[in-house]
Parts: sequence; C-alpha cells; structure tokens
Amino acid sequence: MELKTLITILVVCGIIFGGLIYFFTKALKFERDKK
Amino acid sequence: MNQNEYFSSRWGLIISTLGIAVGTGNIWRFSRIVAQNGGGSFLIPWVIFLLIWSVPLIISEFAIGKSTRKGPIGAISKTAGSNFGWMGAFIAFVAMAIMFYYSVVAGWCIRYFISAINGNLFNTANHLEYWNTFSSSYQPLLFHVIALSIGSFIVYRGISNGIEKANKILVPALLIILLILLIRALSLPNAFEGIKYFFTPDFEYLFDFKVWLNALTQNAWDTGAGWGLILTYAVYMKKREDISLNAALIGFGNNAVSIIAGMIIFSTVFALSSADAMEQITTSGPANTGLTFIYLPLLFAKISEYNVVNIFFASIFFLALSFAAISSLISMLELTSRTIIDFGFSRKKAVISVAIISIILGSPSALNMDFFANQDWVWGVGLILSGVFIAFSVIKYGPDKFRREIINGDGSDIKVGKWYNYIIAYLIPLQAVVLLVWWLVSSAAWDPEWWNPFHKENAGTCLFQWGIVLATFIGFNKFIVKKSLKS
Repeated sequence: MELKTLITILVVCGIIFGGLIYFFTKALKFERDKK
Repeated sequence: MNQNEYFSSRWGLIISTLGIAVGTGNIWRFSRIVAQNGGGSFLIPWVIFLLIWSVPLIISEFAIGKSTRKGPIGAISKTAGSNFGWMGAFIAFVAMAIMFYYSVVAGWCIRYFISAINGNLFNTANHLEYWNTFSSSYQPLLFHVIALSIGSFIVYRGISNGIEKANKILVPALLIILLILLIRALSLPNAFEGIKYFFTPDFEYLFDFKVWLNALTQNAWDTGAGWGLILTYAVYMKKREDISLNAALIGFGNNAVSIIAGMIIFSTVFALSSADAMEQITTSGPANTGLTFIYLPLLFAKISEYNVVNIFFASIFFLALSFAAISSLISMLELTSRTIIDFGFSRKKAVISVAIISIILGSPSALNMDFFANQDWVWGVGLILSGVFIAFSVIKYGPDKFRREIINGDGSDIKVGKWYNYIIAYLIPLQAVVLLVWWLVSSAAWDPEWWNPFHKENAGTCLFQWGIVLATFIGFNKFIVKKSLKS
C-alpha cells in the first residue's frame, strides 16, 4: 500500500471514527452522570 | 397548541435524527461522487466541510427547533423575525418537493428488495433491460404509493409511538446489515484494490474547484444539514436535552456510515469486475440509477457459487437501502405535517392531507425520469438556499447571543466556543454563495440556453421554480406567519 493511501486512511478514518467514538463516550458519560 | 410530544430519551432522539441523515445519499450517491472526484482526494474536502458546514448547521437546527418548538415557518419567524417567515416556508417547501420524488426512490428500493428476496433479480441476464421494463411500467407509481403509505402510517402514530419506535428498528438493523455486507465485501478476492482506490488521493484533484464544490454538496445532501428536518425533530427534544454533543454525534455518525458504505461498494465492484469498475461506478445510468439498480444486481449474482447466498446478500443490501430511504422519508413527512399542524390542524388531518398530496404530486416523478431528474436538480440545489436561510436566522438573532443563550443554554453537556459565531456569520454564507454562483454559472457551459426554464438541468429551471415559490411565500408572508404562530 502506498504511504499516501495509508495516511489518508489514518487521517480520514481517524477523524470520522475517532470523533464518533469520542462524542459517543462523552454522551454515555453525561447520561450516566445525570442518573 | 401545548407541547405534548417528545422523544422518550436522548438515544431515541439520536437514533431518529440519524435516521434523517443516513439515507440513500450515503449508500448510493456517496460512492458515485467519490469515484467521479478523484477517490481519496475527495475525502479530504469532504471531512473539512463536515466540520465547517454540516456540524454547525446541525447545531443551529437543533437549537432553533428546541427553542421555538415550531416547524420551519414558525421557527424562522420567531428566530429571525416575522418579516422572514417566508424563508421558513421555502425551507419546508424544498423538503416537501424532495419528498415527492424521494418516495419514488424509496419505492424502487422496496421493489428491488422484493425482487431480490424472491429470486427474480437473478433470473435476468440484462439488468439494464430489467430496470427499463420496471421503470417504464406502472410499478414505480405503485411502490411510490406503498412507500408513502408506510411512512405516513409511522408519522401518523406520532413521535414516540411512531417515529422513534420505527427508527429504533430501522437504523440499528440498517447498521447491522451494513456491517455484514462490509465483512463479506472485504473478504472478496481483489477487494483491496477497491479500498486502495477509495482512499488513495490524487492531489491534482485538490486543485480542481469542482471537487471542493462536490464535497460541499455531498455533505449538504448527505447529512441533512440545513434541510429543516433536524429542526423539526428538535421541536420534540426535551427541555434539558443537550444540543451540541448530539449534533456532533449525528454529523460524525452519518459520515461514518458513508465511509462504511463506500468501502462496501468499492470493494465489491473492484473485486467482481475490476476491468470496467470505474466506468460502472461513475457513468451511472438514467437519473443516477445505474450503479445501484443495474450494476450491483449484476455483481451480487457473482458474489458466490451458491444462488441462495447471492440472494441473501442482494436482499439484505436492498433491505438496508429501503430502511435508509424510509427513515429519511418519515422525517420529510413529519416536517410537512408539522408545518400544517402549526396552522392549527390535528396530526391525523395533517398526515392524511400530506400523504394524499404527496401521492398525487409525486406521481409525475414516478412516471417520467426526465421530470424526476429535473426535480432532483432544482430542489437539490435549493437545499443550499435552505442552509443559507438557517444561517441567516441565527445571524439576525445575533450569533453570540444565540450561542450563549440557546446552544449553551439549559441542558447543554458541552459548551460551544466562539468559533461557531465566525462559521455561522461568515463561512457558511460564503460557502453557500460561492457554491450557488458557481453552480448556476457553470450550468451555462453545459446548456447554451441556460435561461430556458423548461430544460431539465440548468440555471433557468432553478431560478424559475424557486422564483415562483419565493414570490408566493413573500407575498403571503404575513398570513402564513400569523397562522403558524397563532396555534
């Protein structure tokens, strides 16, 4: 695999999936704290 | 009218709003647009526009809907002032006009699911002929009615008993199906060539203005940001429900689904027909139907040696597509119904009227692909205006006041910083103006009679149809605002 492909996968998927996981875990934490 | 309908929980709200965002745009349109715009290069501006178009507009829509508790007309009137109710009416009209032909697409998906599961889809060698026979028959009209009936029934049952319950089934089922398809797609020999194409950037494309514009449009279409649909669902948010964190979840969640769908499509197409893969993905048949309804069925027939396995994968793909389409369709039905409910009608009367009107006014799109393509063009581009009107409302209210009092107000889990003010006041209008102007100017290049309102896809037909709608709503602004705010 070319380096630029690997970097694109890491950056794009990192932002999208990383962001999703980050916001989801934050939401879970806030919901738990509210209870 | 007292507020008596709410989503039962945060997760109910998020799943339902994800149902708005995740639709045929993720599964069908995204892969085609990526392929036409340089593969991995496209993903870079696409991620940027998620951050500077989609998420800020989703935040704005949640905030406007939650604070005003009204559909688009009342919401924009209360936020920007009663002189601007016509903007809310335009937002509602664009979503409704899209719904008229989106239900046709939902019908195609349902029909192809049925064809897949009963094996008919694999009894033909010529899928283009199969599609042409289907699309020129009465069946698109029949399935358009079926799709609207299913959607209307769900909306009729209300927010928690109808929309929330339906989305709690549709959206998780859709996600599970996509994961199954992803595993299968990635395990196909040569699938990796598709993944490589999907994620390999050709940096020359980044200097092509069109790639950036297509990335912005795809985000606008795909996430549902600026349509007024999220604003409508936000009417049913609980008082202490968070805005910003939920908005981020929707935006990132939606784009994650697009990535997964892209991986499925590219892996499958490259694995099963690498020779003409790119041509099949990019030159996509009448009204952009080719990849999904003509080429993919052909590929599903080759996914294994066993017919039952091929039927299984084809069926679950079209089932996923149907679920995605229906979950988006119900939000459009709810927006239109909500607008009528705000005029003082009951949910029952509103939903029935909307269903009947949609069946009638969606019929031309079901029966004539040129009309379908025209409406997709006019109201698809019209969405950009809807996004501008949402941003304008916040600008009129005062972005910083809006951010402090409403977005960061009661119930907010995370506070949005001043970056929001700059994006909503400057970046979003700038993006919209640049996009609209380029779009309309470039249409002159492909149609010398760019002004002719009766051509399928040009500036003239957009300006003509928008013009009629805007002139009507501006003319009746006082009346529609009074009616919307009275109840």
